[in-house]
Amino acid sequence: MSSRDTILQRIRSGLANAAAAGFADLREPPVPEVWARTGSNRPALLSRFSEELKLLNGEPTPCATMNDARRQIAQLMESGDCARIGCLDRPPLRELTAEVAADRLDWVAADWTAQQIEQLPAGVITADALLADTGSCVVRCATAAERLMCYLPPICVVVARVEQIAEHLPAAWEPIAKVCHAQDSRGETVLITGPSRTADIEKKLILGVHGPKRLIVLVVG
Amino acid sequence: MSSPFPYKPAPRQDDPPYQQGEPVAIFIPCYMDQFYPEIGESMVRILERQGVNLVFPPEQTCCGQPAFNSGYWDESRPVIRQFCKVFAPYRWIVCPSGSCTAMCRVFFPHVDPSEEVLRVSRRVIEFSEFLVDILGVTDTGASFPHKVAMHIGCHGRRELGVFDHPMKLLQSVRGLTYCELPNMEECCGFGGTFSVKMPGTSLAMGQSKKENIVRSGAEYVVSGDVSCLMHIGGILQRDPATRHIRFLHLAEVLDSRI
Amino acid sequence: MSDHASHLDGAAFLKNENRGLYEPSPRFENLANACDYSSKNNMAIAAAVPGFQDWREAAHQIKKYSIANLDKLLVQFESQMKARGVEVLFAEDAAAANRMVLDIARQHNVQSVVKGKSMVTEEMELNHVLEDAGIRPIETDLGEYIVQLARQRPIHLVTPALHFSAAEVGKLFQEKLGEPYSAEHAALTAIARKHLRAEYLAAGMGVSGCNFAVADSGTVVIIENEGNAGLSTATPPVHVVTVGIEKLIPRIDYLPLFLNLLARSGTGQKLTTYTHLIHGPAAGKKLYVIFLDNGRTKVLQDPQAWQSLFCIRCGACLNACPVYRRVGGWSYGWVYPGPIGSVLTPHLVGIDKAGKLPFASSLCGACGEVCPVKIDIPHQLVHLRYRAVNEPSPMNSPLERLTWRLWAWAMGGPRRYGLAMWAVRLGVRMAKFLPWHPGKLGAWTRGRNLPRVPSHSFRSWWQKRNSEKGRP
Repeated sequence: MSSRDTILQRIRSGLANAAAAGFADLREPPVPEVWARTGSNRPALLSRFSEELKLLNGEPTPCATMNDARRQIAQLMESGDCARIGCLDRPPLRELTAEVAADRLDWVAADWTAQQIEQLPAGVITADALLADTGSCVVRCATAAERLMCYLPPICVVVARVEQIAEHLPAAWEPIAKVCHAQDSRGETVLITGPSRTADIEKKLILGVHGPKRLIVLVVG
Repeated sequence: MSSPFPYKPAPRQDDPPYQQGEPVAIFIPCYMDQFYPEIGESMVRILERQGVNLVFPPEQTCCGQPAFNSGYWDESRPVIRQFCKVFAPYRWIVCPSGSCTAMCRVFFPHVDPSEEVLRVSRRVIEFSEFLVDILGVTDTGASFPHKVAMHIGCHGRRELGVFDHPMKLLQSVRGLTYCELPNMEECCGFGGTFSVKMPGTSLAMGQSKKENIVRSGAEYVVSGDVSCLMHIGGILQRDPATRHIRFLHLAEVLDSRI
Repeated sequence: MSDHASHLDGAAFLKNENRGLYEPSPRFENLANACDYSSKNNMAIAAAVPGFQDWREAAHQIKKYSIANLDKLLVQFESQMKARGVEVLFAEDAAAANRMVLDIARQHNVQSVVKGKSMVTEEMELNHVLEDAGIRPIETDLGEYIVQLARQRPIHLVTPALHFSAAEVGKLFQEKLGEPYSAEHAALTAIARKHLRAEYLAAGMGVSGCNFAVADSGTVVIIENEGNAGLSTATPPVHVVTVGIEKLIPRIDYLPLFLNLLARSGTGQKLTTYTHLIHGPAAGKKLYVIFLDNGRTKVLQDPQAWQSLFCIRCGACLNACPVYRRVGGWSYGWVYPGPIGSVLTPHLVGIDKAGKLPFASSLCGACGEVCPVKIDIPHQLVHLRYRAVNEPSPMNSPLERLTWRLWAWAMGGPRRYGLAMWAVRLGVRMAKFLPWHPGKLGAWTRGRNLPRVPSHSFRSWWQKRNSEKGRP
């Protein structure tokens, strides 16, 4: 018998005691409501998102227009730690970086290696959704390069539209669940809630231990 | 005031409701019977003042908790059965100890799930629970003009959900200055046989409790569990610097008159 | 991993029960303070979230259903993940799991392995096995990295190096990594970041644990704050997930509940910095999931104990426990410390070896009070005590059994009770004349005075009062 079958047999033999354990005839529990929907309007959601992300030392950056967003990128690249940026090749990011000098911009393709991505002073990605109650970004990463763009560069810039803000995880759940169920899904969906942090030494909070030290979220619209 | 984590209020037999005049049995834990009889005496006076018809079944001995906590359930079974036999005629069994009451109400069924045991087990009620929930009394007319810190025993607090009851009763005592104990919810370290099986850790926990009592500025430590007080008090008395801090059961404070 | 193998007999505080007064080590002051802060924070958070108690109840019911359907969930998860090209393997015990990891490593010519936090790999003692095979394991969680360099065991489930001061970490990094000494947190973290980055990029394999294995969607869920799990699993060409069979949950739709509970109970956060929902291998990468039994199915043979498999490894019980914060994680002798460790270790390792652990508790109930999945830990502890005295174990003592039988006899009726109590009162009165107190008496009087012996008992007072009142 294979190990698989041995383990399954052991489980089934144990589960024969279900009645004695008080575990017999259980119905599948309903999905509980974790957070109620309050139907907040967009400006309120944006403000909540910003508050929450600031508490986590993230940098929420609302931009009324794409031009404002471009200005933010320009400022970032002038600031000194950001001579070059790497972007995932997506239409919103093409738009965002229209004014960035070609020699300071890298388009990160799926075949980029970890070593290459590691060299980037800043990585620019897009989010699939933003969660207001926790200041989180929902990011689909089908390829290794997309995954590494979230963790390797010390500055991570997430670009999203204000229409993408949901109240909280349950409110944004349906599309996430769909991806989880889809048989062709690969890689991961990651919820990013602030920059990387640790309190492992004497419980003192330090940012950027492995992942990005700076998490900038440009919310356009 | 109550914990935001309501643990597991153990089922209690309240139905039909208490009728004044019906016999109410009292269960006095063995160590209280032998070493702190004055606590039982105070409880009797308080309840009789409320018009309760008290009975003390003389065949009572022990609830079996020491053997149970040590894992010797089979050895505790005859003691539990004896308890249930003695108290079978009574619908109310009042006990001035959270820990013994928890043993009866929560753990009797683990050792013996028979109908006889279950029936009695559900009827055991802790003293402050009985006063507040059943008699509806929060003021016993007491006065005790001293600085008092309250220690809530863990079994009463977490197995029975008895927390607000003693606090409400204490608040009604005239002249009393309540001194908040830092880290009040932390165990004092008695834990029954734990105190002599793991004395090092037990004493470390008791030391913390002592330090917190000193920090609170209390002159008296009061609890609904004299088992905890035996341990805390023993530690306070061992140290000349804290020997002056006295300990009393809640019943004694509620029985005080100036 | 430490130099010494796990040794349950050596669990420090279990040995020192009756010898010498326990001296809280100053080394554990950090631990005690951190636990105190965390548990108070936990209380505040629970009070602030109106639905928190409902969440706990819902989580308990879901875990209950999961265990009751464990075989079906295992099969469902396997089929979902296989359809995406994930290899799903089953290990009956730690040795089997280690063999599988080695096989995979050899297959892919792995020379170094970066590891995210995984308690299951500690059960396996995987690092020893890899080292013996000439493969270098590198713990990437900062706390685990520190204790690995120091060749010690983690002191706490969530903050493994809590007992290290910043200065000590500085010295460690100087000694082991050749870095200039610093006691400054930011500098130390930067050192770790630099070294670990190099490791991520060079490693042939990443090993991680798994917080939840979702059956209906086929998803591996990993939560973390540092980003080390993201990097350990995304950078190397191979990712191996090691996971206990009890981590399965039926539906992805239950996840928002568990994420909200685990983040709060574990670290007092709304959500951890990174929540990874891993669907399948990215193009060009390999993903393996190894399910470990290692004694979990034994728990199913004990109907009273099933809820101990609900544990989501949050550490809330550790933070709440007054015993754990004074004795630290090493005292429990194995991988899982604190209240849940006192329950899991006897089940997984055997009551014959770990039978003492359930007794290392005053049964205060603080653990059960905070457990996010409502495991009744105190009940689990007393149940294990019953098993420990009735099965082969260090606590099964014919002498103690005899003592309790005698005690039960004494409690059998008022006259015997009276006799026994007379003897006890006499003993307590005489104790002050003894130059030295033996056994349990000495254990009491080492740090506490004995109670005064009053002139009368309650029952004699009652009888006297009744005869005066003319009552029977």
